[in-house]
Amino acid sequence: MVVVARKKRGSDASVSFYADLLQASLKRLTGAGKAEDAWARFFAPDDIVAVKVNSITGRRLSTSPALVTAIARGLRSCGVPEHNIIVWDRMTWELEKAGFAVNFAREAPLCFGTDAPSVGYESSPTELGAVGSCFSRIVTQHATALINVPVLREHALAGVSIALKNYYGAIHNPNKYHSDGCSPFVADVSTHPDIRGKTRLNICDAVKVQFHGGPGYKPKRVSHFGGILVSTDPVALDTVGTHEIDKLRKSNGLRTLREEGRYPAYLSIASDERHALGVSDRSRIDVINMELA
Amino acid sequence: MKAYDAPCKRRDFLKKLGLLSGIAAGSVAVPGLPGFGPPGPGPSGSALAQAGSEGSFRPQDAALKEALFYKKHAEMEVECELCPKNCKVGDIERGYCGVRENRSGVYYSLVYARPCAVHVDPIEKKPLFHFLPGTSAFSIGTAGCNMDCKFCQNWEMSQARPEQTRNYLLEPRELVQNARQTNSASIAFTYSEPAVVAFEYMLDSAREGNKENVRTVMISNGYINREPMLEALKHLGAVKIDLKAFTEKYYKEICDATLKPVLDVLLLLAKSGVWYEIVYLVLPTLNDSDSELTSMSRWVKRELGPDVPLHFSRFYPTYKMKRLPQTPNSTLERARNIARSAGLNYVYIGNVPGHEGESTYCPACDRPVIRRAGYSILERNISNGKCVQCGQKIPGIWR
Repeated sequence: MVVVARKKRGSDASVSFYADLLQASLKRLTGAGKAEDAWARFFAPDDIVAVKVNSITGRRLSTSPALVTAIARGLRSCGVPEHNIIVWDRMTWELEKAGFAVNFAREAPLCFGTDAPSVGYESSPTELGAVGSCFSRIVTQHATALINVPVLREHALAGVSIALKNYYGAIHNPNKYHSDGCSPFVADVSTHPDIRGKTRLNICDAVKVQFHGGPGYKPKRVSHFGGILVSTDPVALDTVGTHEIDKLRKSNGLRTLREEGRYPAYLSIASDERHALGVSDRSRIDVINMELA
Repeated sequence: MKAYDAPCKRRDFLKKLGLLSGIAAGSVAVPGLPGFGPPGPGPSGSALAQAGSEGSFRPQDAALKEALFYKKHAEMEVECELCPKNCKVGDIERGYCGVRENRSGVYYSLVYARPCAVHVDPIEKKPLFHFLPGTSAFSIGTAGCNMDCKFCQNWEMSQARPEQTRNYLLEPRELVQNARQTNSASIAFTYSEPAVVAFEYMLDSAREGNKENVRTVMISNGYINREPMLEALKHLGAVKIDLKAFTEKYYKEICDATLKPVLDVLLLLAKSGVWYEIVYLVLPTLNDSDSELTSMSRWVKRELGPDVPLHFSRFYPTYKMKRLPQTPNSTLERARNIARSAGLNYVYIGNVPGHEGESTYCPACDRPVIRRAGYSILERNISNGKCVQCGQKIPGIWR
């Protein structure tokens, strides 16, 4: 199931804006009556939850700090202490540039990159299909649970960069894996046992959508969408996200990714028997569209 | 029993020669260089784990240098023309090498003047056996590589991005000064693939070095496009090319690259007048068949001539090739015999200290012209580039 939750008004992308969307989405996703019960379906108070954001584009099109604050509130509501929450990406300076408050102390959610002191990457590569990479020790050693919080954007080489590709930020050598439309590499990265086993939620920040010209920020190719996409299945989320990007491409006079021969091949690879990361056949995905007042 | 055949003594022997410490083997670390960070990553697996321990590296803090050899496209995309990968790189993205970044449609090198490894090495370590033997090479390496060889001995540098290594700041002029202060006859761009990925740095250093009679040597996989290679050849003193194998299949599956451009570079070198040597790392079962070695040796003889030094090096298991055994001596000796039978005059065995195949023999009288053990020269029987015993001219740059 993929929940696409949008708001008609109040699209100021504040914490409360995101909190409303999150609560509604998670309740719908889990069937829980209360938001805190929905969060508790995924996380326990002793979890160390690492929230993987996407901060590569600075403030203009990165995961919103307000969304992450709303996620942290949700985690606290089910008993996860603040100091058990780590907001992270590759580089500390990129997080700062994207508007996150870097924090190495223990009073609030921690926030730093894999490059932070005493963090780093595993010292030897893990080989997964066509990929051989050292993974962030935040994923392999620190976290017991992961929340993947990408943005919704088209990507010149990968087709799209949403949930699956966001984990390129967990490896030391993403530059090696951009040929052939990033396939099968994007799918291979997510087969790492710690990514596969620990990722409990995918929450895509889709207030703004870059429908062409990504990954760099191109203001003329960004459209307001005013929502989030939530799923436990990263492949389904990416499939639905790709569909939304294509709709925006068409409405802006562009050809779809498939028409351009750039539809991400890694989606079907991710859903094959060997990868088994989720569902890429859109007809088999339960898409719940919610529009909040 | 020869030293290299003694199973119990081999480790001690290598220790004595300093060969068990990766990059540091035979090297002298250079203390007190300006910039930040100690010498670059060693082989202990610490480099990536230590990433950022000097504080968060900000690529914008680096001595950015606009890249040479790239084209600008629409939507702020660039196309790198330095190596045969010809990466198309979107804004805020990097090329395959991980050290060249597109910023708003301008392509930059992130490793200009930022080596992560700095050592003084014997030139024999490169290996260059016919180029200023017995001299030191001031050797630097940067993060990044345009291949991903599964057997890479220096993968912690070559497969890292510059923010994951601890780097010096060493401008070309300072590099030359350091070379002179350490009595190094040359500067070597080595260890990873700085020759290609730090192309601008190498070129500027070579220009500076040539003013001071310090020659620059390019230790490279040879995976570079024709135009940049021609530009580099105007400034270089010598080149060593790693010919990884003689099949496209191997290059694709083991190195994530292609063979033909490397052969093209060797053909360019043959016409250039710049001294060059070839290393062929022999991996058991993967590139050591009689037929492949024969084809390669015949190609070298036919296209490059009989006097190009060819080094068959022993492989040690590492990186993504830990399950393969090290190359047996017998395989290296077989390779050497094949190459000599094909008509090559200077065929060496590498990474087997004490082996007779480390020495240079006169093709006319068969007597040793330069006798080596490890990186040490034990005996010289060469004068003015000629065998002292028979007067045969030995090709190379001898002074």
